Amino acid sequence: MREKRIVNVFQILFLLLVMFVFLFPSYIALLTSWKTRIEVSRSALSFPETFAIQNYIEAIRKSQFLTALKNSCAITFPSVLLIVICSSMGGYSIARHSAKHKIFKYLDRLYVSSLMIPFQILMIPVYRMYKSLRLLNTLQGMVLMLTGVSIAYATFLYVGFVKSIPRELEEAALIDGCGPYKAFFVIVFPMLKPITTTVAALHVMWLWNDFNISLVLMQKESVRPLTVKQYYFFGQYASDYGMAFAAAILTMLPVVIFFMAAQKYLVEGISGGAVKG
Amino acid sequence: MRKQLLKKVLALTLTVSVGILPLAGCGNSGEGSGTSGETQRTAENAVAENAAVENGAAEGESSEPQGEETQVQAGGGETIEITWMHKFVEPGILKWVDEVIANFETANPDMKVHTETVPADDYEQMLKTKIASDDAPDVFVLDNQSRYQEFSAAERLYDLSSLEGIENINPDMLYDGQVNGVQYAVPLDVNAYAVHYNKDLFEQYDLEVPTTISEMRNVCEVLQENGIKPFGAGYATQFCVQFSVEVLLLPLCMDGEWHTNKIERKSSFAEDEKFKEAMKLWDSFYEFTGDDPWGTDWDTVQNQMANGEAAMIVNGSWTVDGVSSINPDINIGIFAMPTFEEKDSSVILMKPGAGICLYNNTQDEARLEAARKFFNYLLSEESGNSYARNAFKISTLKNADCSFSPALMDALSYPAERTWNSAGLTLFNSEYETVFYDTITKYAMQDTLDIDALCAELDQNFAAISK
Repeated sequence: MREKRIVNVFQILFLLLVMFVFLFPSYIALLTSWKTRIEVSRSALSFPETFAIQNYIEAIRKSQFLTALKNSCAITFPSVLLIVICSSMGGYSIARHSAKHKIFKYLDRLYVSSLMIPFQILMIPVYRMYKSLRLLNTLQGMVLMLTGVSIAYATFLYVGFVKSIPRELEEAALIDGCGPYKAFFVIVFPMLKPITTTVAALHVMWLWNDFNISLVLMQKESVRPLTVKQYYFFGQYASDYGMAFAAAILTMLPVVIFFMAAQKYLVEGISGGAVKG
Repeated sequence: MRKQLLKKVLALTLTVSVGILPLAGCGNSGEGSGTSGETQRTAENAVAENAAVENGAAEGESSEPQGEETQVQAGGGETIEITWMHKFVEPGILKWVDEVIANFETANPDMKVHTETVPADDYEQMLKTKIASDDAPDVFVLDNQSRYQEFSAAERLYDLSSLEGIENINPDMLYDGQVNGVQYAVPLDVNAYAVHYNKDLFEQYDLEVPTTISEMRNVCEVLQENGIKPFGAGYATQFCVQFSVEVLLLPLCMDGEWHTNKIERKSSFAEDEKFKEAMKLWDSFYEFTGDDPWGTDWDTVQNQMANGEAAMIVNGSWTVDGVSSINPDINIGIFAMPTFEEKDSSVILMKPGAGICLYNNTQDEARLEAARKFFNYLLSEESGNSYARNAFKISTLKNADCSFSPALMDALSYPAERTWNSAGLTLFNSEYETVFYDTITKYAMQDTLDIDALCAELDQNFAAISK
């Protein structure tokens, strides 16, 4: 009994240590965001002498925070919704039909091979295409692009998962009179909850943090998301770290709130996926 | 059968709607809002703040030939929109950007200037992408001579020689934007590369500005004895190594052909006694750069000077603004790094900064004309002085006014014979520059700097590139 308690204490101490290591960068960011420039110059670890709320006020003003936040939300969440809908349907079709129809097998390979293409190679053709379609500097265009570049990986994840789901339930649904779409949305899709949660969580994080695509396709200040606004605080020869960290904290905040609010579902989904796997 | 078809059509319609609704929900179209976005808003603010300056601009613009404006308006009578792409993020320069746009638009209500800011790291790639996609900005910033050569060879740069605004610029600085005698770029500022020092610390320890190598060593020793780091050296950032070497190397090798000779292999490093002397001198000051110059970056060095930990920094004149913005109370001065034993022989280096260019738009005459007009305004005295004042820089204008900064006045106080101006000279391009400073860094990080081995490797590396 006593040994078990000692083990528990060590486990807790170890977890605290790990937590400390993981939270340390965020702690430094938070600390620095409240310091004046002269305080930052003196020591990175010291506590702020006066809480420089000015950093946050200036960061909000300079980055046009509310507009950028609205843009980030308008880009991220519709993209993730589209990714989930399209990839789950695509993944389901590929998983179920690739054995019988070669075209699905080739599509699967095409999707996987497209993961190898870096965005830099696509940049000029995409830019030209978007310019001629008048999609440059539009949130709709950005949603389409992010969905397009993300679908391949998400589909790849869905294909693997759908293969592990027994066909019998769908077959029963089809016998009971369901069409293929109803069978998918009513019977199969709820069973994809674990992988859907994983795909959604990963893509919320990736798309929220996207910098390169936004930088190329969103050149007007009024449509730029939060991540692209960050560089305003880093000049070629001078950087304002207090303000930069204040902006970073503000940028992180919505995602942190989202993850905290959705934590229960995310953990459920991911652990559900683990059991199923 | 028909019912089933209807169901399918309904399902398809619903699916398409689900796809389109989130997109429609996004609402905001950049094309429309961009015009009324930041550029316009900040421009309006600047108009309100700088009413007096605007009036001056309006007057200045009205003196331009009427024919030019008529020609532009003849393009259809609609507002002509031009784009200015840059990589400025410093608050002072951005204030100038807002100010010049506001003034120009007030004086030219039929023209609108949009800015596109791209971070320095991605700037060139983005510029090339836009040019390759027929979406080139009308006015843009380019870094240096090798870029001017590259872009002019591709016929992307407009010949600026005919612009009347050119006459406002110091002719010595104009060499920097020329390729084969044609003016393709105009540098906005010139940077002084020298020793930036904390005047109050010098006063505290009764130190005079050194003019010889021995005096410089003496200053360093006194500071070191009193627990002050003589030089803040941020060698973890490459340009800090570069400029600390250049302030010693270039005055010793003041021959304007030095770089060309090395590139063309007309002279070797191994036989270059002046280069060896410069490296020996650089190495002799290493003991005054603190415990860990290779683990210290540029930001840290500025912090060290701002809080009195370090007394001097060898770097470009942007140091004044960088350190002052951390500690506004600091009293900074500038002097040339002593490289000789003769008194008052030290030389200050001057290098023009990035240049602004005009896109050679052969497709749209009216837009090119509007861009020419805007460019002319950028070269005006009013714009140049505003740039200097806001950005805390030495403008390339004739008789540039730097009275707002005693430190910059220090740099300008050196007579012509003690100023080394790089404008128009061929320096190392980025490939040679990287190899040059990487090799120096590699040898300098060892316990002792083996200058002969360094020279041998530099010769080997330069020979490899020239092949």
